[in-house]
Amino acid sequence: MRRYEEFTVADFIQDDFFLSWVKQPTSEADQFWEQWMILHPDRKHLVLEARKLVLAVDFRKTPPEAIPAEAILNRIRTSIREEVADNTTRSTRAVNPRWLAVAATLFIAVVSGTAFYLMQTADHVMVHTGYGERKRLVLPDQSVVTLNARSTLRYAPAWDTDEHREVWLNGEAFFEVTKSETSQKFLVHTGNVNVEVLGTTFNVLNRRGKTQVVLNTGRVRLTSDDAKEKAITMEPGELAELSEGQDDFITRQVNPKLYTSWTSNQLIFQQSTLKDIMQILEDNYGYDVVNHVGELEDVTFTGTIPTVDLDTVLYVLSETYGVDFSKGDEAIVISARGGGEH
Amino acid sequence: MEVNLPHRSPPVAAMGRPASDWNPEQIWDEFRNGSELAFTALYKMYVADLYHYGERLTDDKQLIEDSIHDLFVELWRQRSRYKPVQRLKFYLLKSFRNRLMKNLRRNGRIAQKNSGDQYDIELLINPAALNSESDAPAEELPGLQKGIDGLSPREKQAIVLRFYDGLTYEEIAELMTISTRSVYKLMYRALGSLKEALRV
Repeated sequence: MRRYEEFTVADFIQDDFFLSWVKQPTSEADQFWEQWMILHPDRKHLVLEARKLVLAVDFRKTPPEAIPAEAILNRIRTSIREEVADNTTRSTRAVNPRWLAVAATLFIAVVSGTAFYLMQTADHVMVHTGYGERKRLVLPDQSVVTLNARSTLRYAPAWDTDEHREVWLNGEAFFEVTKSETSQKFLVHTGNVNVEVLGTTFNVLNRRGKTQVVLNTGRVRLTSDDAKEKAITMEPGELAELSEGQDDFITRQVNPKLYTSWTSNQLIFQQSTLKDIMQILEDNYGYDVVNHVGELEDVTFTGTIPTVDLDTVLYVLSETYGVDFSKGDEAIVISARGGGEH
Repeated sequence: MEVNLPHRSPPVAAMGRPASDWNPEQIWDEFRNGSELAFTALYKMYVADLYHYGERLTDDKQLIEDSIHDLFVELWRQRSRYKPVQRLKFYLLKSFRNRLMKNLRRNGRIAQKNSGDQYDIELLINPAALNSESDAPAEELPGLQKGIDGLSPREKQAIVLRFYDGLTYEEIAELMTISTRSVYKLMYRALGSLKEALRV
């Protein structure tokens, strides 16, 4: 490597250590170059000339204070907000032609909505549960939410008494909503459905582009821009769901306990097919479930399994179906017993 | 029954500290993790550099603003996909340039002679820099200005990317899509003209 003693002006300008001293002098760099010029008086003029050139050459530009930086930033924020609104329920378009495409990436869309909200008001609260994890939280109005595994709920940390109470859900949650003295609406937003309530208990599931609401007590109203019938009112014991690509709510009578059993650390199954069970395992524990015993897919199971740990769940299922449920790092594999030992 | 307190996003460590203490790569990491404060901090740190680079590629101010807008909307949208970067300023200048060029092409303006690296920057002399340690301050000015005016557009582009933005020769080459060797040549010729002018 060449030494500074042999440097020309062009060499200095090419040298990153020299340039950073000229552009952002630090006391260490100042000391180094002052020392160097004392030690090499015959080369000093080259350092000074190079430095002078770097500092003397300027170009015609808008002064920084005249750059419309705030205006551009506001435009950026507006664009991001519009984009998020496009992807969430707050869009009021009657028919969304992009619905199918959006629904396929609903999880991502809702997640970016969440992140944006943090962006708009850093004060927004976001609660997230991981695999096999559940959380119970009290909202600002004392309503209680139980958040199932792999779910996200967000809401403002303080609620005004004259505004709607609003939460955004991705995943699954059970709501116990307090009655508001001022009859404020309580709104749950999912990807495609808004749930409006006064005071009630109900379960909302929003996964894989489907929103499913089961009402335990009270009354709720569902609205969706995607449904032909924009709003329906639910009665206790009713299940309503709206999936991607569907243009109307499907409703039926169910036993609500089956749908909210997870809140009491139980999985209650009633005539559930193995296919349904596999889906629940994937949603709640984050494992892919691979079934090598295809003929069992539609065989139903009725019973209650404690969900304290996954191994117990798999043991019960294994005993019931008479097949192996083996848990690997990323997948649960269902296979015929014995693996050929018989 | 257990009640979990809601999480809050951690504050951006860099906020409230003097700008000289900011570590751009650290702010970039916070931005990648979804921090809006970090996003705004990045914007504020680099908006002037980007705007000024834009002014050296086109005279269309609206297009410069649009391109900065497009760049940051895209950054926010893709934030989780980005990797840590070493030379953040270079990375942003390059992304911005690509976007600006795309917008110029869309507007049919790229065919115009005066855009991109062919854009003829108006270089100026900063007299304050000449006075401090200069032996002959005043009379240098006209000569240096003359030397500057004689530079080719690409020589001016390279000079400013080095002097003003502090980019390395390799980075300048990548921005101007020429070889590093060509950058050395451009710089060498430009410095020759400037030095000569300075001695007149």
